[in-house]
Amino acid sequence: MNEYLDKIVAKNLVKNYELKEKQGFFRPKKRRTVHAVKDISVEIPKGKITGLLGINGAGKTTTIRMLSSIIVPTSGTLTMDGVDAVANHLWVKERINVISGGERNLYWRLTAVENLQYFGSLYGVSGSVLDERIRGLLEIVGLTEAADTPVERYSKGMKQRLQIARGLINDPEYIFLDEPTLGLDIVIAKEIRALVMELAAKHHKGVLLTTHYISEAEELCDYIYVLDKGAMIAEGTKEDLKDLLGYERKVVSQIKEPDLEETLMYLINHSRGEHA
Amino acid sequence: MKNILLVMKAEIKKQQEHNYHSYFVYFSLLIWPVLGFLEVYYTYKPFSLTGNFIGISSGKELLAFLATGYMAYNCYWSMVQNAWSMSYQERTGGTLEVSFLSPASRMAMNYGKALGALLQEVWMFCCFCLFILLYAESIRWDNIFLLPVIFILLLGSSTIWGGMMNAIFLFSRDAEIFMDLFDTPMVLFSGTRIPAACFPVWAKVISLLFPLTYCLNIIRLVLHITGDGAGIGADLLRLGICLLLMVGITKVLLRRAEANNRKNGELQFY
Repeated sequence: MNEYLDKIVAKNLVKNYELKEKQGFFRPKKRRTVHAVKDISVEIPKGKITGLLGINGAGKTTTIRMLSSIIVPTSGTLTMDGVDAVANHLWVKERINVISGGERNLYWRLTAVENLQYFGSLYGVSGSVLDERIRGLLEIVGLTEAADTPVERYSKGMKQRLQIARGLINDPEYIFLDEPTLGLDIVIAKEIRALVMELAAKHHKGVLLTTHYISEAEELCDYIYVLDKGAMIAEGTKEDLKDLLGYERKVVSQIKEPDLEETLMYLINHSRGEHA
Repeated sequence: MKNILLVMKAEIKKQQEHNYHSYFVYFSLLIWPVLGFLEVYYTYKPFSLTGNFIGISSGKELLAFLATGYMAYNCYWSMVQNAWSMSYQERTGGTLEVSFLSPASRMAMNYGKALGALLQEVWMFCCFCLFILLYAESIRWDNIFLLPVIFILLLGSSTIWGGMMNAIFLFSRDAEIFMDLFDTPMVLFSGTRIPAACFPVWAKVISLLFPLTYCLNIIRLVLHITGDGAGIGADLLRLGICLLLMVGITKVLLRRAEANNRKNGELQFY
C-alpha cells in the first residue's frame, strides 16, 4: 500500500474514443474508434516535476485529462495516494487542479478578483481565507495592480498568469500544467518556470508538466515520459534519455553530447521506424 | 449545506457580474416584454368585454389576466433563453469544463445559474406587472399579503424549471430545438394569453405538460382573476408533483451529462 502513497500512479492506461462520422444526409453515421492513448504507465510523486513530452497529437492532453479525472480511461488503473481516482473523482477533484495554456477557462468580463472569488467558492473556500488567498496568489503571479481590471483588457501573458492563480486557488496537492508557457514571451515564461519549480521544491506539490518546449522540460523536469502517437516510447531522467542517444552516437561517430531536443527527435523517429 | 449555499451565491454573483454590466441590458429586459404585453392587450381591446368573454368581463380584468400571464411566462421563458446562452458562452469560454473540474455540488451550480439569471432578468418586468395588477385592483390592501406567496411560487417553480433547462443544454450542445419547443407552444398551451379552460380537449391535454399552466392557474385563482379560488388544491398538488419530477429529471440529466463528458470529453466542445 505504501508504494501508492504521496503519488499519483497510473498503470496501463488506455483511452479510446468512439467517433461518429457523417456519411451523407440520409446515410447512417459511420462509427470509428480512435486510440488516443495506448497502454501507458505514469507516476507523479509529490515534491517532483514530472514531464510529459511529445509533439502535437502525441496524446499529452488526453493523458493529462485522464490523470486529472476529467475523463475516464477506457481501461487501466489510476490511484491518488492509494485511493481509486476513477471511482472517487470528486475526492480527487478537491486535491488537484489543471492549468492549461491559452486564453480560455476564464470569465473575460470579470476582473481577476471576481474570477478567483467564483472559482474559490466552487472549492468551498470563502470569507477571509479566500480574500487572503486571492491577495497572496495575485502577488505571486504579479497581478496585484491589475486585480480589479476586467480580464478582457489583459495581455496574453497576464491571462496566463491569472490561469495559474486560478489553478492554485484550492491549494491543490497535485497540479497538472498543460503547456503553461504556450505562446508567452521569454521573460514571462521564465517567471512561470521559476514558479513551477518553487511549487514542487518549496510547497511539496506533485507537478505534471506537458510541453513541447524541450528546454523547458530540460530545465524543470525530474523525470520525463516521452509520448508519440499515444504510446510511451521512452522514460527516465533527462540524463537517462540523453544516454539513450549519446551511447549510440558515441559508437557510431563520436560526435558531441546530444541535447534533449535531439534526443526527443531521435526517439520519435526511432519508434516510428524512420532514420534519425 | 454551507457549501451548497456558497456555490449558489457564487453563481448568482458571477451571473450578475458577467451578463448584466450595462443599463441597456436592463432596458431591453423591460421594453420587449412590455411591447409583447401591449400587443396582446390591444388585440383583445376592440372586442366587447361587457359580457363574459373567455371568463373575462371588463378591461381591468383583461389587464390583470394578461399581466399575470406575461409575468409568469416571462419568468419561465427567461430560463430557457438563459440556459441556451449560458451553455454556449461557458462552452466557448472553456469555463464549463473548469467548473466541472471542481468538486462543487452540480445541483447547486445548476440552480444557482438559474436563480441568478431569473433574479436579474425578470425583476423589472415583474415590477411593471405588479403596477398593472395594482391598477386593475387585483392586488389591494386587503390581499397584499398574497404578494410574497406569489413571489415565492414564481421564484421557486421558475428556478426548478430553469435548473432542468440548464441540465438539458448541458447534456447536448445541439439542444436549440428546445428554444422553439418552449416558445410559442408554452405561450399558447399554458394559458398565458387565453385561459386553458377555453381549449378543446386535445389542447387541454398538451397544457398539462407545462408546469407554467399550474403555476398560472394558482396565481390567477389566488388573486380571484379566474374563479373564486375553488380547485386551487388540485393545481397545487399537480404543480408539486411537476416540480418533484423536474428535480428528479435534473438530477438524472446532470449525472448522465457528467458521465458522458467523462467518457467523451464533450464539455470542451463548442
